Amino acid sequence: MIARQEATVSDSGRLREALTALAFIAPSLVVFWAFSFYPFQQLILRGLYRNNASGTNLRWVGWEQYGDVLAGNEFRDGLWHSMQFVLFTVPAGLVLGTVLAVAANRRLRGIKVFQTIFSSTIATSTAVASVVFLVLINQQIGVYQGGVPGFGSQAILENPSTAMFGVSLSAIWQNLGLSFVIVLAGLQAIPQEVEEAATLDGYGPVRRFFRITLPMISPVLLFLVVVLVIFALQAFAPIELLTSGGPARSTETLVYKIFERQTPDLLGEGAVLSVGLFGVTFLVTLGQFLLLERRVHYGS
Amino acid sequence: MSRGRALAWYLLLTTLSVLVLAPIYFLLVRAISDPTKAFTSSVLTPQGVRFDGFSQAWERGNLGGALVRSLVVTVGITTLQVTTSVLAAYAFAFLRFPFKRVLFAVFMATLLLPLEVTLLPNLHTMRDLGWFDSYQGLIMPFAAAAFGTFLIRQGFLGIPSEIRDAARLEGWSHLQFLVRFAVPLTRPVIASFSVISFMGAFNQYLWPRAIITDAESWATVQIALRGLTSRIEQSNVPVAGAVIAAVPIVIVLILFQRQIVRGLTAGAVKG
Amino acid sequence: MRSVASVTFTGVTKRYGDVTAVDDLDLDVADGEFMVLLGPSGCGKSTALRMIAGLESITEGSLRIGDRVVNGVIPAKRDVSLVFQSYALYPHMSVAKNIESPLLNRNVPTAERKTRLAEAARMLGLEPYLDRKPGELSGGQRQRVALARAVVSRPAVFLMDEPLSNLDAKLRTQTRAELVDLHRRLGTTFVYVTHDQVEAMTMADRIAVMSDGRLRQVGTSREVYDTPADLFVAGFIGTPPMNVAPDPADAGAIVGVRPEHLSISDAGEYAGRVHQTEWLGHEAILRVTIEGAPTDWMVRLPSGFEPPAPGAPIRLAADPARVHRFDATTGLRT
Repeated sequence: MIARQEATVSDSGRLREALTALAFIAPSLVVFWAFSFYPFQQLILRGLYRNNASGTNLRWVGWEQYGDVLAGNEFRDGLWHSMQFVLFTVPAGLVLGTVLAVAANRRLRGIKVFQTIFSSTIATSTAVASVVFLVLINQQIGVYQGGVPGFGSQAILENPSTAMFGVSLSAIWQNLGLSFVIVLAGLQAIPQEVEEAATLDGYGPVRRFFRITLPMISPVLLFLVVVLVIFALQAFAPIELLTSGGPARSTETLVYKIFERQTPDLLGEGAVLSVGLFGVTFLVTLGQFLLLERRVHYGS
Repeated sequence: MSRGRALAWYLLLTTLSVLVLAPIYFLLVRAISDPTKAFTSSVLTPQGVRFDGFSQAWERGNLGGALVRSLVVTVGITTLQVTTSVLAAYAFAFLRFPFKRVLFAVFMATLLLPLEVTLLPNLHTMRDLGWFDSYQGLIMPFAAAAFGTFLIRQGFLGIPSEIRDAARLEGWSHLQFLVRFAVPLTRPVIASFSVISFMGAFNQYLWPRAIITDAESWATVQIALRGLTSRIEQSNVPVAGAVIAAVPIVIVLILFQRQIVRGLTAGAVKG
Repeated sequence: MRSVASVTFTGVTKRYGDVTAVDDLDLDVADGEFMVLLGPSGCGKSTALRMIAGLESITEGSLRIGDRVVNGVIPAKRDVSLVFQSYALYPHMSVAKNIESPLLNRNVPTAERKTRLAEAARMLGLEPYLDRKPGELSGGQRQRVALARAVVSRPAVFLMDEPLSNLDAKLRTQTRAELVDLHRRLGTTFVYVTHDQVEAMTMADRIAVMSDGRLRQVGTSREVYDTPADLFVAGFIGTPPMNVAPDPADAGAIVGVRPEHLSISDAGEYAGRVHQTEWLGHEAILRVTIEGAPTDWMVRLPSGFEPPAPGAPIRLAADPARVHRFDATTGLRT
């Protein structure tokens, strides 16, 4: 007796398959709709309204609020601070991750121990990493309570010119583990024979790294850059825990500003800032792919 | 490799390790140092060793309760994410249905709408549903995961089609195939995603911070940690709290290092 | 300025911890010779090749290229080229850049580099592909790029690690002939590693048969086929393999006869039963179960042969000049 093949041939079979698919996808879709798409729609709409502090005067203002906010100081400052965070954490993550990965990618006894150590910061949450850096650079309790040489004598986190840098340190350290793991995987994917061919062709270790290894891990590095940029644009905990947005609001990133705008009178502005954050993330990610993809090599 | 070269590499690796671990070292030293003496003399060794920072952190921050709550939330989120991702991944990998590509793009689009962007309206939803200070509020927004769907779908696509054909011939339904074949065959990938989901959920900060108004009764570990930093002068307390907060995930890292690495690098390296 | 050199292994051993990959290897590869290192996986042939290249260190013994002892010399300075099994091309560089690669690092002036690139490209038919990337080429084309890269540096010794194994059967046969042609044109010493005895027999000037890290025999195709030095070589060379059985008359000996040297004869000294006949078109292979033999004996017979019924008793005779005898304990030829 031949068992019936799972039907994709008959119409009723197709329908059944589609319904099964729907049933399997539905739970995720419901969650996504409720907590991603519906809110996004609400965001855009809310930006078209202003309200007062007690929430009693919700009125339509159209695109005026978008114009005001996106051209205004809050968005500009928030964006600038977020960008500073990106500029501090991403290149550092890339370089340090590569240094650690290159160092730990060799056959030595006990290398796995070093690899575990280098990946260890994956285990830290942003809150824990922030507390770690309170211990290191906080003006009251820090191991180092001074400032950055050349930027005045104020403590790092109290000096508006250096506070963002101080906050970034916490993220740079926290990102080490992830950066290391990702670059190491890229290095390990290079076939050993290619490295050997390069040795035979006379490439010394340095030339081999820049001419052969680096180009071959460029897709991985691009992936890492995208991930680190997204993390940087979303940073919140280090700012709240290390500087509470100060000093003089010099560390208020976009997310921080959004978080501060939960009351009815600020909600409209917050909504526009949120849409702005979305736009920035989208454009930056797209831009990265377009700009860098050309320089990235993809193997066969 | 020659002795000399090996030694040089060990030296470099040790130096780098010291740099990576130094912040943790300072953390541990401070956790057991008397806060009034912490930076009077040397910062490298504990001054006035005392261990009551841990008990104070535990009590003041209600860390016991916070740990329990964090674990409940984390397990809840992980379980839901894995379940919904496995189901959706199955549909995308094995089933044919209209708008499949569009729907997959919709899933991936959610990666562009993280909570940082949708925070404000989601808070409104929470208020309307009365889900502030509640488990469902902490868990439900994270019940599905596009990353997980993507990852597990990749795993399912790796199952040889002959197995699917053989199962079809034997008359297994989709649900049965999923449970008896697909999931067991992709256990490593599902395990990797579970661990990463677990870590992400445990370490969350922004959302719990936003929806917990009664920190006393509802704080997760990360939020409890924040509470401890309000009295920063007693530096051994929040620091000890941080150590306690880190312990669960450090244990997870040690136990599941391989799975974590596999999950994190899945998007980065082909094959 | 083409250089040619011999390769000499003297007592070379390679150990990884407890494992001995190559055991006391003594081998002389002559100037300009096409030497094939033949053996099953794990026999040490690839390790030996990589030691010539300098990609594996030598635990004991000395290795000379020409007159120079090269034990400690870095690979780039040994004047050798290696064609890897996987070709190991640089995926992000064009074919031209891949081929030029060995010259870029050796301060070869641009004009000469371009000439040698053109020469190698022409020799291997790669002129239309110079601007493409390896990912855009077929397997056979990639292999030729690997060959061109090896040729362009005009090495004293050409090393090849199972270069044909990733090609399909038809391409393999064609490339075999091309490699032999290449050797004739260049006149360079070739050291070629393979597990395929057909490749070895058809291409080599001499074959070095290895197993378990040890050299079993080195000689021309004729020599290893007609006078195998031990049971291993006897069984490894030749398809179908040599038939063996314990000598009924002498407990300490094993006899071996190749399938083409057996015939059916009522007066034959080997008795058995017919198992099966395999008819291949151009010939037939008769499988006979011989008393005492570990496996069926195979007899090569012309295609017009009438197959006897399976199970029928049968006697086989061997050309006495073609019977090989081996010591049952050592496996060596007696």
